[in-house]
Amino acid sequence: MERKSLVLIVSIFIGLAFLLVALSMIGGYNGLVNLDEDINSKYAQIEVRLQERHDKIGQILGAVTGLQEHAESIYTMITDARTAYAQAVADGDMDAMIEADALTALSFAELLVVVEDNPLITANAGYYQLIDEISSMESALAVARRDFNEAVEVYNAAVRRFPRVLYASMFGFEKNLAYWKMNDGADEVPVIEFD
Amino acid sequence: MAQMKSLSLNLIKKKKLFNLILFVLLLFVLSACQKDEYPRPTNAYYINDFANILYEATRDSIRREGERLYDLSQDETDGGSQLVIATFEVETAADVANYDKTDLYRQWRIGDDDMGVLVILFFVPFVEDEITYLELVETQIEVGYRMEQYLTPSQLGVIIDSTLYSDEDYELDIAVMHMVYELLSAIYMDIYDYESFDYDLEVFEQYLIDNPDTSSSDEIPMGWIIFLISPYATWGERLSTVLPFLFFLLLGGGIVKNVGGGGSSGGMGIFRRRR
Repeated sequence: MERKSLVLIVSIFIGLAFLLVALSMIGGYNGLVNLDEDINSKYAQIEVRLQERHDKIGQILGAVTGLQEHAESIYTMITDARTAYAQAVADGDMDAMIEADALTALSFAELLVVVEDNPLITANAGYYQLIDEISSMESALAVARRDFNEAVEVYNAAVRRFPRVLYASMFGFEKNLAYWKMNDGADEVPVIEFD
Repeated sequence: MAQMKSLSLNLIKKKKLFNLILFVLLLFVLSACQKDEYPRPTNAYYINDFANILYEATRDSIRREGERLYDLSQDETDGGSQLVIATFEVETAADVANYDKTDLYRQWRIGDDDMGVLVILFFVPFVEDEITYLELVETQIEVGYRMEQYLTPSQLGVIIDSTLYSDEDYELDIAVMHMVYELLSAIYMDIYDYESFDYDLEVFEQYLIDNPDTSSSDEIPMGWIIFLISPYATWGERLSTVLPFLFFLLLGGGIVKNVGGGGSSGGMGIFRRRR
């Protein structure tokens, strides 16, 4: 009788242990899936913003007259960035996309300085409205990059913690996702000043 | 003896339970005391004049218009729009960088389904003839994710330039109200297909004149405190004045408490800085 109850207790204990492990695995796996999905949605947000900016570039170049003649380097920089972005999207190359993003942000900042300082370059009436669109787009991109990096940070920390580190290996989750890195100041939003 | 042992065991259990409840309560209180990055919105919600620069009549008008917009848009497609205005006093223009409009928008959860607009006005103090004034140094507007498709940055730029940054020598309250009316006009007409949104700044100006601020301070009046500690006041009198005040505080300091619709934003919006 005593032996039977001992077996029963041990069986219950083992059953509970299995249940605990199973629950932990389900929770851990689902948690990682949620974190991964969060990154995907944040990445998609960056892509949307980048595409919107890409579409605006043509408009802003059209609104500025004399840029190609008087500030060829900026003009080339912007068109190069645009081409690089289109190529990166076609290749699905995230690193190249980050480079194109940084180059575009830099070229827009340069463009603002050049247009303000160079009297030979003139802007039409819609130019300042486009600048609002661009600075807003840059602001939105900065937020999208920050949200993405925060999601990556949470994920990277989660997959290195115990016991998720075991589940990450077991279910083939990546252990060190790359951040969307920009050079310092490259993603600063230009602010319009008024007298 | 056995009875005493069981009694002491019961006592220990009760003590443990009490400690557990105390611990849970402490956790609850601590989580409630978590410090937000920015101040919480006021009970009026639609106007948060932390710089204390607007007249009471202006604040009331903005609150009323905010409540009206939220109510009227409830049953519309993409409804539940919220227009929120905030003013902050900063020491120098450089201190504006300590504020992030997107973070503030997200903390205040403006608009149902991201249908919100947040306008932030930053003021810097300056002294002239020994009097301290506040000067508008920067304006920022943030729109919610869903609102982005309706209120474009260029549209916002045009509104802000023709109101707050217009060449006309407006008084600040009138300029702010003008901007609010123009934003409302864009929201009602472009989003909810209203045929018109009429407003009259002269009527508002007259409303300002007719409703001067009655009190420049929200602090508790000293006379009231003196009455409470006075030896001539009875306990009944003291309680009858304190209890309604406590009840008012428990309600959150106001009878009507507006709250955010739970919206979020993604950094879309504009900036304007005075050179």
